[in-house]
Amino acid sequence: MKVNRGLLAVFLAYTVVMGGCAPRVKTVTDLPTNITERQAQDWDAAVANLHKIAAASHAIGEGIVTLNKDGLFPDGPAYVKALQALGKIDQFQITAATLLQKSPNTFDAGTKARVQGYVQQISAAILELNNAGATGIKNPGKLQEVNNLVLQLTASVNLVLALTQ
Amino acid sequence: MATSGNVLSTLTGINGGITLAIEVAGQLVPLVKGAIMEIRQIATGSETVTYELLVQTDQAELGKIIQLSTDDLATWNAELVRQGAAPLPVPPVTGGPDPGPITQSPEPPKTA
Repeated sequence: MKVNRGLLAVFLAYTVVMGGCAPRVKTVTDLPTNITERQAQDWDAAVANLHKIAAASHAIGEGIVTLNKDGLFPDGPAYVKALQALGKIDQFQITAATLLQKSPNTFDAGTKARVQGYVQQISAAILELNNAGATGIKNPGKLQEVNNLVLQLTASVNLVLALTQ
Repeated sequence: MATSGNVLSTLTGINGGITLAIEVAGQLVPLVKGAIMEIRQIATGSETVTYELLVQTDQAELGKIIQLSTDDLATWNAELVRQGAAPLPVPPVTGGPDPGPITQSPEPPKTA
């Protein structure tokens, strides 16, 4: 299978660079006694970045289906693999969001690790999507557009993975 | 398609004068006019919020994420069926147990 090497290189660069994750909310007041401000900030950051992941994957999926309808990503095994990768991403988005819904008061290291595990599986699906796109999208300009969206998606994924353990 | 971010942006553009409610766990939770300022603060990521409002707002955002992802999955599944491939299952989202450890996360069926 052909690999989009340029995109993979940037993906790895993001992984190295994204060493921290600034909280979306600076100060949280009226905390329950058993919850630290950092826990609340981390939970909020995970929600915010999962939202970014969902928005980016939505845009990528719409773009890929449009390319198919325009004949630039033809029917066939690569298109099926791209759809399956998109489906996996949505499955893990749903699962991660469900876990986050249940865990605002219990966002400890174990829960955080589970969210990160789901996001790592999203990351694996992004690589599958990348490979399928590199194989199936025939127009270099359109491929670059999809790659740019995938980069946004990858950046959000890495922000979740960078949450302090 | 509207996302929760768009919804938040729309809400933060409202200058009070209305009663605002957000959906949390399937129920509408009314917010007083002053809460609009606090939602703006969460959306812009710059200020102080109460824990209760943070949880309410983020729960609504998570609901939007689940809805968007579910709708998208339905779209990709329709395309997969058109291609002669098996659709992927939708994970349980409400009323069910905790999603469980990573090893029990959903695995889509293999297709030809």
